Amino acid sequence: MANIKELKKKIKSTKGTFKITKAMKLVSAAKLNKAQVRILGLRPYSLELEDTVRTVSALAQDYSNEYFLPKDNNKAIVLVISSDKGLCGGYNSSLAKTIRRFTNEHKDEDLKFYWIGKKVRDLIARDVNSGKTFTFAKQDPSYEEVRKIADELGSMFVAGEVGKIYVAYNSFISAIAFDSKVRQLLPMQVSTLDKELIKTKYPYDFKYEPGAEQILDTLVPEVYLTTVYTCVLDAIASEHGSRMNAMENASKNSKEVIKKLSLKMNKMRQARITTELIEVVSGAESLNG
Amino acid sequence: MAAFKLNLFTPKGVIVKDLECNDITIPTVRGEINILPEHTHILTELGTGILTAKTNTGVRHFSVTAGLCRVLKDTVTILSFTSEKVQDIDLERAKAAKAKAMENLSGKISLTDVDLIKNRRKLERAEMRLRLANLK
Repeated sequence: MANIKELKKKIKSTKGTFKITKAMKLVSAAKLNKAQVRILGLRPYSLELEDTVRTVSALAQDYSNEYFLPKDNNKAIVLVISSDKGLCGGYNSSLAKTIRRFTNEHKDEDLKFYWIGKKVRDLIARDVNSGKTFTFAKQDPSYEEVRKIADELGSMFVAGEVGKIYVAYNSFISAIAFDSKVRQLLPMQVSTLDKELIKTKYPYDFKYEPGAEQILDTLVPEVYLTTVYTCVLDAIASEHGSRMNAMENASKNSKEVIKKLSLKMNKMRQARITTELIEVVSGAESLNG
Repeated sequence: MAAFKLNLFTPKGVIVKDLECNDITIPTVRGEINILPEHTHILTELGTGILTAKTNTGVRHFSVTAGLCRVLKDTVTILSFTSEKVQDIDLERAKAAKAKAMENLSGKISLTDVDLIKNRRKLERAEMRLRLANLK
């Protein structure tokens, strides 16, 4: 019976947890809102840009850019975008799982992993060939910082040090859903099937000003950069979404625990009072008798 | 006259989507071009300048900087690195930016080639914003 006190202590600590998870949920919701605006603003731009490059590169005869050419090199870099903080549900573990599967499927390539965010690195760095970790001045990377990373990886590819560049990240679908995926950044690919499709879709060619090649020359690096930036923003938005959900569930659970514990404690207290009453009454009875 | 649609996207967000226009003037690297309905399909690089769109309800102006312009069927898609509506222009900031760029370009301090180009572009943008602000 002595554990009424213990129960009280437990309830108090659960209440503390509840407060924290609730606050974290609110913070994540606010951050998610911001991140969502950013990613949803960027998406139309990045989609259009990508679409244009695909179309033009399919239509323009024999165009090739160093970003398109496959390299004769077995080495590949995987840029993993995860979070620095935990407590965000399956966000990091699901990404780690996807990467593990990817590594198994690409055993013939010499993969090297570069990291943004340390959580997934901590999970799988032992099993893979781990490279550099990128960090940012603030929590969320700025466009300039992302550009630096993209340039660094891009120049390695152009120089032929690596043959492929992948990015692994969680793509933002909605506040409650994300999709872990690994995507090939370089070399950019337009499959022959796509090319044929585009050619039938646009039976006419564009009028280019200045020239198709010049336009592509400026566009292709821009597409590459925008893609990296989109991935980063996607990852940030899904991190906050995922954390918001995790915290929402945690709040719900702790509420339930508090309810259960309170009920248990109240029952115990009632039982004790009843026993005490019986004792008093029977004591009085025996005196009277 | 059949109207056509204007989409203006930037990395920071969608400026306008499916705006019905009758006539658009677009600054490109090779000078301004004018787009009317049933224009041929073109793909061109954007310059820095003011994009003017005539709609049924009036004329609207936007600033654009480097980017891409695609005219396809009845849609004009502008992908610009930055773009602003007239009402979003910060006049004071543009003035300050112009003064700063002018000072840098005045030759008092020596500039590297890269900085020179950067400052020239800054000046160009600031002047464009000031012009745009006057169009209000």
